[in-house]
Amino acid sequence: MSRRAHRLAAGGGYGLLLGLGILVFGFPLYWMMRGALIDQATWTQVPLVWVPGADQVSLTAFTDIFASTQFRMGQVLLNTFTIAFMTMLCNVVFDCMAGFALAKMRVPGKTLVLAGLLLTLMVPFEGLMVPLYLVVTKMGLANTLPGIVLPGAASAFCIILMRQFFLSVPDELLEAAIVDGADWGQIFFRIALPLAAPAVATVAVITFLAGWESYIWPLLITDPHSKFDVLQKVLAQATMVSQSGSTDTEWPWLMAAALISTAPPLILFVTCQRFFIAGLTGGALKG
Amino acid sequence: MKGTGLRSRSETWTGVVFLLPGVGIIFVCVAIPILLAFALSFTHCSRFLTIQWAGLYNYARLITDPLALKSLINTLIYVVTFVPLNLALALAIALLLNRRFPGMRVIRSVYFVPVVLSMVVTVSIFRFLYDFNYGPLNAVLGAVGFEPVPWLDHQSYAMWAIVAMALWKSSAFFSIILLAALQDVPQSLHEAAKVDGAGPVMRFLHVTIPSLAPVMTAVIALSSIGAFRVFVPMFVLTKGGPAFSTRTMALHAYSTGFDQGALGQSSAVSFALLAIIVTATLILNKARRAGR
Repeated sequence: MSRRAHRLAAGGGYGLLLGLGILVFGFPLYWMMRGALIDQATWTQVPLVWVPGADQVSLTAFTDIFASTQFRMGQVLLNTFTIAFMTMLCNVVFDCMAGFALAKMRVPGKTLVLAGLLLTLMVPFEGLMVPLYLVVTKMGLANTLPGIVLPGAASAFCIILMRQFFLSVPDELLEAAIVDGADWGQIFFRIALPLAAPAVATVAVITFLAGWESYIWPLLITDPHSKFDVLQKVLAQATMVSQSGSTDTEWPWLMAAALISTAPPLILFVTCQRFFIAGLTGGALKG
Repeated sequence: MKGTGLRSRSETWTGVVFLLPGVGIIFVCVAIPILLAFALSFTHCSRFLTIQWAGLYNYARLITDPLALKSLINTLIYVVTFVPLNLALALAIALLLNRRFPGMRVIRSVYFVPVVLSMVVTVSIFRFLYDFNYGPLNAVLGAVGFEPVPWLDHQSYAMWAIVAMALWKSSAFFSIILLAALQDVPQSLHEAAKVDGAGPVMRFLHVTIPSLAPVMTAVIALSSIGAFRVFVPMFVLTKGGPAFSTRTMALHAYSTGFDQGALGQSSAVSFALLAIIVTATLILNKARRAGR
């Protein structure tokens, strides 16, 4: 083969692989959108409708799930947003404060606390389902909003992330403020926190998403059909029911709910990609 | 930070106040449950919290109870298939996307779609992709003359179907990390190897792979921790079935605890899972340090 032909073949092979990847990673997303736009009858048509025609497409699923008693989308969306927002707020406040104290303040037992936090990074939530359920139930928080938020309200990973960041703030800056008569609260809020804005944004994005996508814990700590049901719980429940082969769940509703659930993470990913990636890779390399 | 006695006393108090909420929550929600699980694992604790000393009975059951043993083996099968395939795929994707030409940004964002989807959303999409009658996967198989496959309803397929889904979900995530590392490989190393007459394959083996080694170890560590604790895909898609073929340790701990109310037994399973994960993390961290 001539050099040129060789080059062309290699380029073609590369293009083919790249295209295959686009198909594999893009197709499930397409299937979700298609599923939300067609009706149940089109879903179960044989042979399969790969690309629905314009007359088969509608947005009724998106309005139906707000009215359906299975999805109760209005209530559920409000719950999910409240929980995600509270999780984010608690983490931003608590993790930043703790990270700052660990980096810059003289506190007895600091090394012990840090070692303990590093240890908890290794502990999977899935290994603590039963005892955590017992603890939170004993506290009388089962079926309450604080009970749902509590285990996610602080994150060892984010505390350590904030500590790393505050370590890079020069001591001289804080000492100057002390000489000027500032107390620690002022130092934290006026000097340290504004400097840490990118790290705070990372914590905010990570923890909002963690709250938005939390599923197992809200499932465990609330009753079935609780008034605090969240999106992931309702979606998982509908997926399970749809499995038995019955038509208990309208399939378009399921996919519409899945799409709605994907919107906030997608928006955050597109607008805050920098913090997103920082959170991902930082977690991967330091954790 | 240096200061007078008065200032350092206020520093100590403020420091404690700063630490208390965050560390307190983690103490209540992680440390106490671990201790509780450890204590309960030596008892016959029922859902009504009647506690009776059991010694090592619950731990012996981890091996003598066929279902517990099966869930341990299933977990190992999942980890052993998922972790290497995930690394290979993530690396392949990173290499594929590590080129620059117009449109690459758009192509990359298609590849990173799974990162944005939650596990529950992923599971509910794949439930339809795998659907026996109306799934696109079986439609394609049918078009090329194969019988439809009961992906999630047969014990020979369910685990592999879930592994494939998990790979789809996480390989892109790990390829982001590898892609960042690839772009940090100094171009001068490649140039030097080229001057020495190394072809693309040799350069990949002797320049790219060694420079990526620390990040690859991190990928292995993270993905195996995630794989040992796998729960949601099985819980929602198969409930651990068919014939317990997808029952993992986390699922077994859930089921013995919440379905059967055997809290002591469940705690022993949880604690064993914890011990496995901590051991694996420590070994992999050691390998990471040795590799540096």
